Amino acid sequence: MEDGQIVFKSVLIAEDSAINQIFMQRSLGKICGRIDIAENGAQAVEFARANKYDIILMDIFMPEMDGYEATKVIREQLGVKTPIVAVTSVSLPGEEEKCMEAGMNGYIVKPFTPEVVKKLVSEKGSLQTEEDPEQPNTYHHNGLTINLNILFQLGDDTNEHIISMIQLFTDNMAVTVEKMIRLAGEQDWAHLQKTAHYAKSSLSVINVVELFELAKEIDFDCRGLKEIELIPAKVERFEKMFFDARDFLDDYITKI
Amino acid sequence: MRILIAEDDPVMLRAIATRLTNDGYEIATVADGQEALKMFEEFNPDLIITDILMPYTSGLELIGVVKSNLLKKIPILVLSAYGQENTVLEAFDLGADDFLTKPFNPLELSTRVKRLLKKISND
Repeated sequence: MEDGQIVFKSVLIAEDSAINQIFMQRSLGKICGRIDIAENGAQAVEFARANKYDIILMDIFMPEMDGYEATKVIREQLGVKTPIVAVTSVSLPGEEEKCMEAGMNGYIVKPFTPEVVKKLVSEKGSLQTEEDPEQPNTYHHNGLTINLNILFQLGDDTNEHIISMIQLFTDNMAVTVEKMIRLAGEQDWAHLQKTAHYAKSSLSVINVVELFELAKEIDFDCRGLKEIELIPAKVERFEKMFFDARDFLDDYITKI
Repeated sequence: MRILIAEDDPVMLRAIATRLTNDGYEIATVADGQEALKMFEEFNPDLIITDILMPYTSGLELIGVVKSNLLKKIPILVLSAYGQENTVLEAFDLGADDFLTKPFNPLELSTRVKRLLKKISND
C-alpha cells in the first residue's frame, strides 16, 4: 500500500461511540476519501439511501437499530449491494455467521490496528460486489473529479444559491492559492501548512477530489517537514489544478 | 432554537448556515472565536458550532471559556479535519459535546444538531 493512496473513495461508518468514531477516522483517514458517520443503524440506512459508498463499516451493537437489522434493511429494502463489513469489539461464538446471514461481506474485531486496515485493503477486491459507484452531481474535467453533491443537499438548490456558492468558492480559493504560492516561495512552511489546511474547508463543500487530496498532502508534508524540496512543485500543481477546476465551474454556472 | 456558528472559511460557513436555516433554526455566523465570544451575550445561543483553527481565538479557547461558565450548559459541536484527532480529544476534555470531520454530509450535520438540542431539552 503506497503512502497517501486512496483505497476507498467514500466510506460510511456506522458507530455509536464518539471515541471509536475518532479512532476509526484516524486509522482510515489516509486511505479513504470522504468518511460519513452514522450514529446508529437507522441513520446508516438513511445514509445508504441518500449516498453511494465504496464500503460500509457497521458496528454490530448500536442503539435504535443494530448492525444486523440495518444490514437487512439496506440489502432487502434498498437493494444496495455495497460491501458491508461488520465491526465488533468482542468476537462472540456464531456472530460471524450471523453477520454473513444478515448480508454482510466481512468481519473485523476492534481495535482498529494498522494490521486490520491492511487486511481490509487486501480483501477489497474480494469484497467488491459492484462497479465503482458514481456519485450524483459529479463531473470530470481535465483529469479532475468535481463533486457538487454536498451543494445540492443544503436545502436550497435554487440556481441563485448554487451560483453564489460557486462564486464564493472560486473567489475565496483564488486568494488562498495566491497565498500558498507566496508562502512556498518564502519557504514559510508553518504558514503554508495552515493555509493548505484552511483550503480543505472550502474543498469539503465544493469537492474537487484531487485538490482536496493535494491540500491534505501539502498540509501533512509541511507539518512533518517531509520531502520539503517537493512542496513548491506540489503547490504549483495545486494552482494549475485550481485554474482547471475554476474553468469548469465558471462554465458550469453559465449553463445552469 | 438559536445556533451560533464560528468558522473562518466563508464557503463552509455559508454551507452550514444554509442547511441549518433550512432546518428551521435561527443562525448567527462569525469568522473567529473572538467574535463568537462578543456575540455570545447578545445572541444567547442554544448551541455552538465551532471550527478548531481560527485566526485570533481558536475553537479550543472558545470551548474553554464557554464551558468554564457553569451558569450555561450550552452544547458545543466541534468541526475538525483529518489529522486533528488529538485536538478533538483535547476539545472533549474541555467539555465539547460532539464533533464532525470535514468533509461531512449535510444530513449528518442536521442529525447531530438535532440530537444535541434534544439532549438539552431533556435535561
